[in-house]
Amino acid sequence: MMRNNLGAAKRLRKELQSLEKAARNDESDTDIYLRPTSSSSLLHWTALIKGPIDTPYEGGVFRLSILCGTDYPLAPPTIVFDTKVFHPNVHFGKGDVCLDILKKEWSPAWGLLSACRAVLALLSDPDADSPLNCDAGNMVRAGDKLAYWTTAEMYTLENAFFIAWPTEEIAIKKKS
Amino acid sequence: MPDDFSGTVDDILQNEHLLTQAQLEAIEREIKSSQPLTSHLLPISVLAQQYKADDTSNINDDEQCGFARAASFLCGKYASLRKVRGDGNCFYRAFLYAMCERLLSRRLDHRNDDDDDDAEFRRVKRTVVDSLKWICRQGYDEYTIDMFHEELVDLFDFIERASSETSSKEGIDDDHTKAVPSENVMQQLHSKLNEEHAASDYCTWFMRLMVAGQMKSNPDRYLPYILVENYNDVHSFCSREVEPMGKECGMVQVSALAECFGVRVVIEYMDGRMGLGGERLAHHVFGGEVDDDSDVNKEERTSITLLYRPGHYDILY
Repeated sequence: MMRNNLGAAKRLRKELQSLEKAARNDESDTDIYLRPTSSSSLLHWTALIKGPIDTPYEGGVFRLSILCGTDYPLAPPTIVFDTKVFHPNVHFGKGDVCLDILKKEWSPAWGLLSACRAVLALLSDPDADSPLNCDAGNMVRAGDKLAYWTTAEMYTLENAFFIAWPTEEIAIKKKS
Repeated sequence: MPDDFSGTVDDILQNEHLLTQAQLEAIEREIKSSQPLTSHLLPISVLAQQYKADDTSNINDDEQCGFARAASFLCGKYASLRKVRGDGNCFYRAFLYAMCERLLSRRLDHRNDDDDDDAEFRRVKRTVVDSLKWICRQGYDEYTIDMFHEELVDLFDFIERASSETSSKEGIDDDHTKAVPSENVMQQLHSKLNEEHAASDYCTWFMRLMVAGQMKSNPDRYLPYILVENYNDVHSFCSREVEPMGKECGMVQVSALAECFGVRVVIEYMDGRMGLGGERLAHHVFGGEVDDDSDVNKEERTSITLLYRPGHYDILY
């Protein structure tokens, strides 16, 4: 029987088990690394995502901070970019993400991993009609691809090239 | 300078976005604090009173009269009404409550019959228990949905246990004390289904999945209805209109859920169009045809009656 936050903890534990199992079997997503931020709470997670190829985010690694309420998974998690990113649907200062599946299109059948995949898809496919970053939105809407691309690329180089991808570390651990 | 200017616009937009978000949340909180998930049983006369009280409002007169006429018609046909919270989940919640209530009260009525094996309860419970497997075959990850399934199975276990426990406790001095424990058991079910962020929400969402699973496994049957709503395939319809909590439900979802459970759903449509000479209200029945291989015949199948008013469902008795 679910009692308030028990449901959230139970579900998040299952998500963690599923991620760990995938890691053991070498079946993890190659461009998403997702784990609880600390061992003290399952409600707060950190994700690293690799900027998709053929986008101005390529080569960058972006850190996301994920917070689940006690009503998760009935309510969506809150996802915020910790790494500065120039994108029409991400707030430039605060890192808030505007994505329908994290609002009213959320379904409990989604998990944190699929939410991260949706954020990745958003990086490849910005929606200029619901901008949180007007500058980026206007560039895309006006068809000024060059301006958008170079600005986004500049911020990627400036902010997203310092985070090491953790998979190698895991691979080493596994060998030893 | 241009940088500062655009920064301001950005902030305004961000604030607007937060504002609508905050407004929506305020409305949600208001609904949550003022409406229980499912109300106590109310006399049907509250319906007539509601439309009488609105007499002075500005709504189109004809329509207003239509509602008042419909209300008085329903007052003659039904005895009670149970209101369901208007949070977009009302159809699923009404279905869940009415079905569980029917099944439990039936078991309580027959608990002293020696030969009653309650085939209908077993049929519905089996539908629930077996559902996880075939829903997963429609492409859902078991670990993301199994706890919702468990909660619905738990609810059926509760109905089964509660209705058999009371019968064994009595026994000694039955006739006299019989009515009270039954009421207690019904009250237990009521409290269980009114707990916030618990059984009702979890089961409600699982029933959304059952609708999605039902539609995905019979796409040809449901496709014509969703084409009308500008969707080209069952998959995208389900992910936008069925799976998210709080998404209101149309005819397709109603018939899919009724057919999935093999439960008959009668709906009285109160939409203000009942004319002066109207004898009765528009009235639709879903899930009436029985074509599965169960041995429970049509007359013994669970049947529930709901009241539809634009955008909302309540339960009728």
